[in-house]
Amino acid sequence: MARPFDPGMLMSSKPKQRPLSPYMLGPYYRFEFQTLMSIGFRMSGVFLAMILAPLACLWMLTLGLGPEPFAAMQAFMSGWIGTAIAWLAALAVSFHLCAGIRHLVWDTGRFFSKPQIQSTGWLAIVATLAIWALTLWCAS
Amino acid sequence: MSAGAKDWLRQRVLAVLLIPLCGWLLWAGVTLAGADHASALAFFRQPLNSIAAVLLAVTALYHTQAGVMTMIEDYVPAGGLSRLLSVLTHVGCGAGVVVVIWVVANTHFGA
Repeated sequence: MARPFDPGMLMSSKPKQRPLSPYMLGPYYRFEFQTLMSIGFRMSGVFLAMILAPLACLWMLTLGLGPEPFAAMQAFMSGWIGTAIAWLAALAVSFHLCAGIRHLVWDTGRFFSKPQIQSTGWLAIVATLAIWALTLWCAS
Repeated sequence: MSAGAKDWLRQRVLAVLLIPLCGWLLWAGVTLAGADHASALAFFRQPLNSIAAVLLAVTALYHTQAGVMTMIEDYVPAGGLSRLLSVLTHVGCGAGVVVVIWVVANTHFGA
């Protein structure tokens, strides 16, 4: 049924109320394993965008600027803050990579059943930990 | 193909490229930890590392820009702030690509 035309709507400064899909957290969806995977995927992406990408670009910049700025950057990265960031970044890269591959597989329409979503989720977590452990082992 | 479908496909192609490049990133991080200036430059002068570094910068920062734009659309109400963040995102990602290409090019053609 069409709403009667309201000329005031054209003049209104308020945005039109449109239906939104319910927010993932809250009363609409049960919190479950897949919720955690989704949030982790986003959070790892935000970490990579906000921390690793700027830091890696800064690292490259100091490399281009000369030996002294680069030595200062390397000294920071060898300190405990730099090391902690590097370990977290390796975890974020590993997780975002594995969860991202899972998304690419979903984009082809495969592995969409409920049990497959559970099993591929656990597979992504195990693969993440394996890649992370391998990276830290090589670094030590 | 519509603009939206092209955008979707471009993002997927870049994401697939990022799979091997993530492996290279982890390996490069391990290799370059604690390296001095000369050996770090020598690392990026190796042709395969030059190619990987530039490809990673372009694909990862395009991916970053697309991801951050989604975060802004999802969490920042449309307005001045979201426009400012959008500009900062594009400028920052573009600057990162320029820096990486500049440094890698310098290892080959630099003084």
